[in-house]
Amino acid sequence: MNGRTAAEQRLAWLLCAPAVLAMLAVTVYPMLYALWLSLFRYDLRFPDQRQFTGLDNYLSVLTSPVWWQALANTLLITVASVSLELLLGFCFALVMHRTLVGRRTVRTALLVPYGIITVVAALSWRFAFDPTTGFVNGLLGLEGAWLAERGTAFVVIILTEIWKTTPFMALLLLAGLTLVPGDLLRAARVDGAGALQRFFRITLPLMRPVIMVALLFRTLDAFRIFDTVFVQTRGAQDTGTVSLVSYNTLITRLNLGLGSAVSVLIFLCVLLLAALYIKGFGIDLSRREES
Amino acid sequence: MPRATGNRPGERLFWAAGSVAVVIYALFPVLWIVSLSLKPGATLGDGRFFPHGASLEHYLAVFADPRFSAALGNSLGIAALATLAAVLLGMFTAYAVVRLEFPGRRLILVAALSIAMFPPVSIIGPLFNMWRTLGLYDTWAGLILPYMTFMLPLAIWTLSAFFREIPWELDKAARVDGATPLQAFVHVIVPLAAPGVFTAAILVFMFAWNDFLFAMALTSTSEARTVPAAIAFFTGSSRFEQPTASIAAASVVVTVPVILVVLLFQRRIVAGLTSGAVKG
Amino acid sequence: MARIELDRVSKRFAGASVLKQVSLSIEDGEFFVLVGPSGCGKSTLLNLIVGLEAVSEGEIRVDGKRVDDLDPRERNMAMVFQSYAIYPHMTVRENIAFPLKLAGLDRAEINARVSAAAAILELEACLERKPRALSGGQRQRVAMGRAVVREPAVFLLDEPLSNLDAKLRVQMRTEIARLQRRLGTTTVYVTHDQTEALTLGDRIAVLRKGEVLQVGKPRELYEHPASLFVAGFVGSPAMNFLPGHWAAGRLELPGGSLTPAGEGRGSLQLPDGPLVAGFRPEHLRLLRDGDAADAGLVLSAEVEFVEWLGADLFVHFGTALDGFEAVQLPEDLDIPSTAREGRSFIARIDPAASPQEGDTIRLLLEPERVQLFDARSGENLIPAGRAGAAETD
Repeated sequence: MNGRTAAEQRLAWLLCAPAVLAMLAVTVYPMLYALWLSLFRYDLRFPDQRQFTGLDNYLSVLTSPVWWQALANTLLITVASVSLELLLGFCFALVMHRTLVGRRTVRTALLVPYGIITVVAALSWRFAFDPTTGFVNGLLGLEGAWLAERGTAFVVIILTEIWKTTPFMALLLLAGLTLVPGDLLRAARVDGAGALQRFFRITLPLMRPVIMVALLFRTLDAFRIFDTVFVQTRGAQDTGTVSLVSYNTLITRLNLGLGSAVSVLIFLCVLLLAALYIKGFGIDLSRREES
Repeated sequence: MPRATGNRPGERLFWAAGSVAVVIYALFPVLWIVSLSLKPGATLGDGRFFPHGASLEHYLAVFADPRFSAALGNSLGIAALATLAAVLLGMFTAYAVVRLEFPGRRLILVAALSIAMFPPVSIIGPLFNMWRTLGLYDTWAGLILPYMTFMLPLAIWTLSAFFREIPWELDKAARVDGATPLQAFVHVIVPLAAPGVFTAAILVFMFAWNDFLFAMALTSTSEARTVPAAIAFFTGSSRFEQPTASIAAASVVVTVPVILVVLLFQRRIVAGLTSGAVKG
Repeated sequence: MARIELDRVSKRFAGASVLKQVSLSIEDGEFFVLVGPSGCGKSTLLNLIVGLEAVSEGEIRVDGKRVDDLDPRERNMAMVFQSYAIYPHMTVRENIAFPLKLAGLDRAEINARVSAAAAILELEACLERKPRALSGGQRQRVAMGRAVVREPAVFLLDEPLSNLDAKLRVQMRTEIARLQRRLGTTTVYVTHDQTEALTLGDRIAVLRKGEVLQVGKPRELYEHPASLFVAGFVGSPAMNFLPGHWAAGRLELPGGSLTPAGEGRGSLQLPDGPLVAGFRPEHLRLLRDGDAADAGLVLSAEVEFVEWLGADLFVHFGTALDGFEAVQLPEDLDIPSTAREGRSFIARIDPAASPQEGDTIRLLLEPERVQLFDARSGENLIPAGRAGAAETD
């Protein structure tokens, strides 16, 4: 009945409009504005000296060792934390799946790292590794400031990230695990498959969609890391990440032109990563969208 | 619920030990920070995990600091308002997506997905400049707007997943029973949708409570500075003393409510997280 | 007092015709069953009667007053849904009381009526429980309680028993019948199960693809089906069909010929040509060696399968078709494929006999009971059968 569907469509758009408008206004518009700003030399400390310079800012950034160092750092942290999270998350998921006692306690406990403010977590780990107030040095019989040196600082940063985000990964993987029908595994057992074989040939393939989605979002999240690095090192010892570079340029040094160029570059990197994941791993996003 | 296929005592012990390990993993940084907050000022440098004699001096210092209570107030207010806005808008959108037929349904879900993948750091520059011009810099509204936007995807997904589970046919039964559409909505639909809405609200609130980047970029004073940003700039009760313990105390104060929420609502939270991501 | 009339009611969904010119009248206090295969439009018809859907054409009248433009809440009808549709967040008591609360009755009246309904449906023990703590049968009774408590003019039930297990279904069937007789309310009952239709209905309407094929009392539909479809649909085990040929007043069948006798069959004037003969399993008699065949046709049956049920004995058999082409029965008749392709038949014989698989037995088909159907249209060619057909066009 045409009247009914037309009215239905109008109602639907009416209901969705506020959310859509908010999403457009607060992301699309500022992003375009950033693009615009990046074409100017614009330092808020000398606002009158603003002038159009075309792609000069991009040139500056792309020829700056600071940017490339930050990019390398970010990739290092991303790869290290996501891969370790996946491994650890799987272990936790298996524990929660197979244990008969205290499953609820474990799940509740795991929600604590998820719920804790990232800044608090970062501070907790920072203090733990602090040579004066921390306990790690005493425990391991070491001396030295972990956060004062690049290599060890990365260790602390990555450990903090893993600690905080593994629970989310574990919960997702647990949900994926419960989707694997017990009957399939029992049948495989009767057919003679050992525990490892069952895991790699049945469980993992069936969990593939869940894993892929979890990896996609965790990778993007890890790439955007800011809180932990800021709180623990402020980017010192060459541990800065791309987000930190952007923040420093924009907010600390008030260089809107250059900072916006960095922002746009970060956006492009994220776009690239997402595209790689979607294309490369064939994530079936349309299935997610249509249900 | 799937059970462990091995019933041998060795196996059970193994998994039980694993559970204990996971719990320790999850809680030890929290215990550490609690311990730090209780350590008497003089013993801060003793390098031990547990405090040697407990003291509440840092908590007193923290509560005496007006900036901390201001930050708490800001966090609570801003997170609450952003949650309200996100859940409201998310509810309308989720209802439309789940129950109505219209072109662009998919587009909206794609849009939500894109926002979730978007790097917030890319817009702190423009927002900083825009807010300065519009007078929204260092205000509650200045934070509520970006929070609400970045919380919408989570809200829409969680609410869609819950709304899909509601047996909408019940409103037909209510109409036959004699209800007007409004009565059917209030007596039947609202009670069934409430748990989902509540879960979405919890998840979204935790997101806003946690944000650091926007708070750092878009605020500068106690007017709107939220807790994460305030803690990062804590200087402690005296200029000469290490602020470590004060920061620890402040952190504990801010973490206790989170733990309470997690304890009380863990089932809802897990359901919301997994339904949104796995089924959604 | 509720007499329902459907006057040339049609319903179209997105261009497709779901109900075509349906006209029925349901008497006050009658238990009226709408039965048919899935997709025949019976549930849609119920939705039109209660007002959850609007008619595309035609009128629906209750006691002479037109209702098809009224909202469900204004029609004073109660409905039991196939999925029960009971409110999961309310207790049983609140569920049953809900319509009364909406109607604005006072507390005392509501409590009295709820208790009465709970007593009739044996739900007193469950009143404070929530639906998730109830069994399927209990939930179904809650749905019925919610309908009963309103004391409406009409009860509408949409396949209320299909989600129950077999044993519970039989039990609830009798309870529903008893309840309706006790309350005397006009009831329209939808089912795809012809057994339910036969046992529950005062009158039955058989629907197929949006049209009413026949309306009548159960016995009428069973003994005088208006068409091949109705004949094959009503009755379990289903009617057997043999291909035949009419020539010079006699029915030629595989295995011999037959002169139909009895009610309406005596002096049939039919054009020569092919037709379909139908006979129910109980109209075949086992002939033992030495038994003489009286009037009628003797089928030489090869026993394929025997089902002995104590009081009944069903023999599944095949018989040579002698060059006749097997009858292909409609897809929407719920019968096994061998029967649908006309290759297999069923006989109900004396349980004391003990035919074995592989045996060849002789079955007598009596001429008084055979039904004759047009080979193309399926229409019953015997006058008494045509009399029960619905007046639809």
